[in-house]
Amino acid sequence: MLKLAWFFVYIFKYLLGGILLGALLGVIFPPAGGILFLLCILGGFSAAWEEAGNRAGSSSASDVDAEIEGFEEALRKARRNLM
Amino acid sequence: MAVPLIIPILTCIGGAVVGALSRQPEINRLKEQVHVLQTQVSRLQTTIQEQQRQIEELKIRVNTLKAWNFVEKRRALGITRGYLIMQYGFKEYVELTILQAKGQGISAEELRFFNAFNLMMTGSEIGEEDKQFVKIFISSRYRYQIENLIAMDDGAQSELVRKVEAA
Repeated sequence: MLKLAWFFVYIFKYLLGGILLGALLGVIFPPAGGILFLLCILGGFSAAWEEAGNRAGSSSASDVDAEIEGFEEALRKARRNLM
Repeated sequence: MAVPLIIPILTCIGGAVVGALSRQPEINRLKEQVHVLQTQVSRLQTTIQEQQRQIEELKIRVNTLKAWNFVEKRRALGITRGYLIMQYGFKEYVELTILQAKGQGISAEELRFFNAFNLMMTGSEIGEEDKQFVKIFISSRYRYQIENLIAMDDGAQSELVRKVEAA
């Protein structure tokens, strides 16, 4: 729920960036303008969702896996140093 | 009037003596462990400095990864947090070793963390539940530092080494 609330906060920032970049690319490459515009907007949604997750402190399964990977790597190095 | 009081008092004293004596071999083992740490202070410092260096490198990686590379960025962020959990876990482990060797009491949660982390440091396998406990224990105790990717500073490192030397 908190993540969703932050998403709505960040969506303005990223969506605005996505629209501006998409419009600019659309002017530069008119034939692919529509699809580039759409991709930039989708990228904006994705980035806003990502940042909202960071802000809300929620962690996905892949975050937990990465944490375990980091922890075990550090543990191995500490053991090796202290041996 | 005094006799009924004497019996519980004697029972309490007896219990305390038996309790203290039963913990003595454990305290001796921990004193030995502290002695080993003292003889390896330079290794201890190297270990902490190595962790520090790795964390700084990982933080640079997290900061240089662009927003659109978010999968890789989140992975790097997770790995950095894992390193930080290990660094603060190691700090807590050393401090608890010293406290126990001095005969000072620690809470049940601290003891559970200490036992699990001790097994990890010796390379023994521990259950998934204990691994989770170690992570939760450290993450809740050092939440601010881990969330904000703040590694132990030089002052905290020196303080830890000083505690080991003075133990």
